[in-house]
Amino acid sequence: MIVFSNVSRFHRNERKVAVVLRDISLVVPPGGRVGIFGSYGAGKSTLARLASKVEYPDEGTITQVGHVSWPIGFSGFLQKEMTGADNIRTVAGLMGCNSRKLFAYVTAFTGLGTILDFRVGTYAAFERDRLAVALALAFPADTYVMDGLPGLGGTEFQSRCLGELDKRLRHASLLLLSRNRRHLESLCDTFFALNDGVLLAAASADHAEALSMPVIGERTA
Amino acid sequence: MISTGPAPAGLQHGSTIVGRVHALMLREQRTRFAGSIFGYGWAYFTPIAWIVTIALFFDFLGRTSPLLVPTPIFVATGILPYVLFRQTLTSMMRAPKANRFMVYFRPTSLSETLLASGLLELMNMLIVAFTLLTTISLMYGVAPPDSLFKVVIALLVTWCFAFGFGRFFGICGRLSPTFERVLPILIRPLFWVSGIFYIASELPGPAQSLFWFSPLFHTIEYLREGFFLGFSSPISAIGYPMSLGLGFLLGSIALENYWLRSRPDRGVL
Repeated sequence: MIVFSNVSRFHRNERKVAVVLRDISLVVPPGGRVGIFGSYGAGKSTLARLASKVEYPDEGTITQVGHVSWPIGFSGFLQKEMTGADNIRTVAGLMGCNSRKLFAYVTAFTGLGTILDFRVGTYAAFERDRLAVALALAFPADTYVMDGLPGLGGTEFQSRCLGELDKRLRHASLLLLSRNRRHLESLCDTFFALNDGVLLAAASADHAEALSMPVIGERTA
Repeated sequence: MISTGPAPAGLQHGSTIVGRVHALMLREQRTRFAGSIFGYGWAYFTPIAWIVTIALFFDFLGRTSPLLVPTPIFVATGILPYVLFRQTLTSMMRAPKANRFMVYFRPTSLSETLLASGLLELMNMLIVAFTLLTTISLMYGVAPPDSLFKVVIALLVTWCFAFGFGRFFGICGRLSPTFERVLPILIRPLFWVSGIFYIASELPGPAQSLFWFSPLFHTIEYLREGFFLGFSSPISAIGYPMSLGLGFLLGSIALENYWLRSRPDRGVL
């Protein structure tokens, strides 16, 4: 469960302050599947980082109950100079789990096989994304936070991920931030639109998409 | 961490601070010199090369040791704490940025990345110190340290000071990149005022009073007191660098709390 209470987030530089999220109040209840539609630059990734408590709000409070995942879909934590296998070992060490079992899970789930013995810097984008998604899904959580779903090299693997996530969600809740209406429709039951940092309630995924509009290059000062 | 969700067999997780710091140390070991021909060997080779170069340069200038010991061992006892300080500081200044995404694996924190970085450097430098001092002692037939305990304490206190100082400025660096640029300029004088090439009793009175404030001077002279039988220095108050390190450590905790609240760098570590 995650509760946002009047959360605002600003990005600053030497001269300006940009409002990224404005007065967001949101509850992801136990067992709930909350989907937020947002265009490019709407503040989805910032909201996902706040939900996972990787980042902190400038105003308001965020309360987590139970274990909340890191944003699934994010692959920036993979160290390009290390092999996939070494990255798995690092994650296992940080999460306190058996690295051999994690390795076995990731290998079986991604099908990357011997590719894991090579440096991540040599991977194709979809291979890196697969590794990152598999690592995120490997760990149980009470609430999964998902910042979009990358291409992952084809619809077959994407479907496998969604199927795996669906299994987990029988016992957990979900906060999905996406600009893909179909993903929201298939995984969520409550919808919002994120428009220029403001959260708007929507009746359906279609409605959320309609409420959202492109904000590239715009930042409210 | 207990969760209600199903997990693949064996992947229930529950990390400890020791496990996380160990994982961060291994990560640093695997990445710092990745792709270079000697790999992590550079972590040992670089400080050894630095120390040997300075000892040779000292010899080349025709300077002799103020103590009745071979010049290389005298210079090595001076430069070792300084290199330990610099290596720890450099490593800790680099750590927050290099590990910025590791905080995604909560409860891994900035503190733990700094601790891992500092501990790895201590480990490296203890190996370097042992290798270098043993090799020079055997080469020049120098007697083993008069008090190994004092030598180890001197190195550990140097590290404690470097850790507190590095933690403080590592977090300052997150608040403003200006600190990263200014720090090397600020600490450069330490190389000249810390008794690397001379001992305290060689200095005239006013210089001795002024250089007393260099924390590294104390640890270097304390190390020499432990290494060379009968050597005693007027600048070896080991409590001073220790207190200074503790002060910086406490200051860094306050600064870290401020940083966590303000996050001027958009929050991503």
